[in-house]
Amino acid sequence: MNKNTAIRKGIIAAVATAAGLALLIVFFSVSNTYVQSVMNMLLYNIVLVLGLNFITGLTGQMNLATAGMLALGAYTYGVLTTTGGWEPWVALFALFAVGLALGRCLGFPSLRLKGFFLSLTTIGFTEIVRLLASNLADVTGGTMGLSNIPHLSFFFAFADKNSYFYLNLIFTVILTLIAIHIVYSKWGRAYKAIRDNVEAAEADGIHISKLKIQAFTLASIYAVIAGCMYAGYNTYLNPTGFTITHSQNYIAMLMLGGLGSVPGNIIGATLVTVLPELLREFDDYYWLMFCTVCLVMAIFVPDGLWPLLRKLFRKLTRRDTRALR
Amino acid sequence: MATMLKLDHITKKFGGLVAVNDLCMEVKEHEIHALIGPNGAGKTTATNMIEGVYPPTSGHIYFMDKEITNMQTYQIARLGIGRTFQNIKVYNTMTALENVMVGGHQLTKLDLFPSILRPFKLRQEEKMLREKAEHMLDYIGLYSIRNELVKNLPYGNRKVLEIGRALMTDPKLILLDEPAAGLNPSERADFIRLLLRIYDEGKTLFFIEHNMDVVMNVSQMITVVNFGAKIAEGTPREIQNDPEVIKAYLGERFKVANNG
Amino acid sequence: MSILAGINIPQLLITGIAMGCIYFLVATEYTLIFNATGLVNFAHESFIVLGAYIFAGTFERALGLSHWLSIVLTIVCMMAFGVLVATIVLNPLRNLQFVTYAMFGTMMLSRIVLEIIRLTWGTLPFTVKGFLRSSVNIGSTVLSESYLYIIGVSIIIVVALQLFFKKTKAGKAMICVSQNKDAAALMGINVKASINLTVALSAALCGVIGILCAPLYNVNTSMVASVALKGFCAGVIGGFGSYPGAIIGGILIGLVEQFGILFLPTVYKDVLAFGLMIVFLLIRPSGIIKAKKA
Repeated sequence: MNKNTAIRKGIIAAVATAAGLALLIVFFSVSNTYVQSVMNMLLYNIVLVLGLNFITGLTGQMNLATAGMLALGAYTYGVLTTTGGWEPWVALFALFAVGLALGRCLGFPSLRLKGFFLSLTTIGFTEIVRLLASNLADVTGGTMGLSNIPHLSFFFAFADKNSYFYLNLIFTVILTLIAIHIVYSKWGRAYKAIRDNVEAAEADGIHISKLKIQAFTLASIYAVIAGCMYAGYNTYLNPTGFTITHSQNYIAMLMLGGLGSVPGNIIGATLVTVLPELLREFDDYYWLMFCTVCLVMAIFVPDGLWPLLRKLFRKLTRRDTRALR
Repeated sequence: MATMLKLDHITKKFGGLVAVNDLCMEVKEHEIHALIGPNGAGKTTATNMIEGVYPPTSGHIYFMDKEITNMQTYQIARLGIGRTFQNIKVYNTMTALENVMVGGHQLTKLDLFPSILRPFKLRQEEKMLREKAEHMLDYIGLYSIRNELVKNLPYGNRKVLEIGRALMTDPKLILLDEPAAGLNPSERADFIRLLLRIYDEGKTLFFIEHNMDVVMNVSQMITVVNFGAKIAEGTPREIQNDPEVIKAYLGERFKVANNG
Repeated sequence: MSILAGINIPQLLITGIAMGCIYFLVATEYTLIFNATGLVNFAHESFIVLGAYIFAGTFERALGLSHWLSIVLTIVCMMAFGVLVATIVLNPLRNLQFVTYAMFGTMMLSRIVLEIIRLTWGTLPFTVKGFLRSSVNIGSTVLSESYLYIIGVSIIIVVALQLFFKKTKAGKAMICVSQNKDAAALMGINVKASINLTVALSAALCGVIGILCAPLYNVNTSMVASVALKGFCAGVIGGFGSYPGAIIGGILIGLVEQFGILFLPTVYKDVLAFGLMIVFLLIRPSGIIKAKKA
């Protein structure tokens, strides 16, 4: 029992959260198209935040390129399958290549730049992607957008929208499992070591630049897959969905749930995606309240909701055992 | 005894300032070697060059007959030089156990993408690391607080933990930058006992220290630097009676006290 | 030289310098906060928009006051706002464990302010009638009045800031605080008050930028989005944390953008500034003029 440490508990919690969420999603999204599209949004947001967690949550490098990475993934998939005329599943391989290349391109600045300067580079990247997407009209459809994007299908499987949703669900579950696998292992620890103290990490024999680039690569692969999930489900793309504000939203999901923990990421993504849909009555005041809560949390509970929930849970169980005695 | 670490005429200049000037010294295998000198004499600069934080302006550094002069810090660490820092550097958001496990990161072989494809191998490595880290915590006497967050631990514990983390990298040589600083006398005694135990296990220790009690009682060989250059080298007894060292650093009082 | 045909060089020059002045004012405004608190104020865009709305929406349109009175009242309001923000947001954020938390905090602050603006003044864009809207003809060159005012005001602000830092006690205290807060506190400087004053100054500057931008764009919540980001570019290119660097970086970007049109399609005008910044970040992260503070 003593060897059952925090890590194993974290893994169990993450698997339980993911499984519970998957069940809920299936339960609610069987037929209603509106609910299903929100749930699809939730799925790709979870994937994005899981990816962002590697670089911002664990390694501690502020990354505001998430929207740009998502855009690049979505547009690569969209352009290749429409104007390019590629089979969707072939485009998936191209996406992996884009993800790898992107990880290198964005990871390289992180070797030389820290904190604010790195975040500026990532802002610059997002802005450039957005400006290109809206200005290169003959390729991307410009501000009119890109339509008739096919679903990702393997020959004939998953060809219609409803079954495509379940494909996305499968993707999300697989990516969540991989994230759990990496976060709660030597990799997660090494990334956190870089965040906490670079000099000490180096003296421990950790190859900082390699790991930083790997973290960025993981984030960008997750993001381009999310892009494919987004483009393939909605079958329509335009540049307005990929601004800095969106990047900030992903940071908000990460911070709200809790930096560095997979259940935290899932909770954060769920809250930020689903709450605005549930609290439609507050419409006008929703974002004001939401941002105020975020700001207050950044100051007073910077570690996010997950550690808080865990502490609460531990307190409750402790009280129970005491009562039993 | 074979030479473990050799500094061959190393010089470091920061702009116009000469921090280390033509320093030559050798650390023998299985030896406790101290580097002492007044503040600003270039001790920390020398350690930083050994660890590859920055390269020397001129000169060569050898470790186990292998040149490490222009290597990166992580490569040098992997060759077998562990270190602790002057103002302790630990990973504050992690538990004591995880801190020590980070030290073992470089001992594992599986790379990131293979480890996604071979989850069971990764778990196996994880188990190995955990067991090794638990042994290490037991060895340094912190097993009971293994699941505490490091930022909540007192200074003395963090200092010991840092040594444990350095030991976890399986070093042959450990560099300690002012290991006794900030400890009260009883903590200091415990700490010295730990260092001697580590030495008995076959490790070589190289340390910078200002506390002369520690230096004179623990070390077998002492190198004294002043203004970046070596002014004396020898056993504690030789150093205590070296007129130049007394003038530059120790002062008369120490000599009298120790002879008496 | 055929591409130069039909293009009025003096006009491009004046426009470039004027836009450059805006960028450099933006760079100065967040550099003030950066030097005082170590925080990069991602909320500065919203401060500028707030200034524009207070000036154009409330004092000009709703109350119909004269231009000068509106300007003065706007600056006063913005200073009060600055003190408020410094006290309840920036001072607590300054002491957090990771920079990421503080950055996130200022981003959220930005959106809060923008939401408040949207709820107070509505979403419809509007213009300020009769404020810096005329233009001057010199030969074949048509110069917009607002550009000339921007350049003039910028020069006044540079001189005033210089005098403030060199001659006044409060200005000197600010420099001390930016270099070492503990030492400044030991010397009897009220660090919190000094930071409050700096943020107030920065907010007032944001107000001025908002007023100057009001005639250039329609007044709406995203009016200065690109200006605010290019202000960051200007700071990085000139040398982050350095005031002379901000001037050089700002004007450089303004000119490169205007003259870039000669060689590139107009649509890439905005890409240019970000591309230049990324190149600088990778090749010379300290910028053209390295800030004195290490």
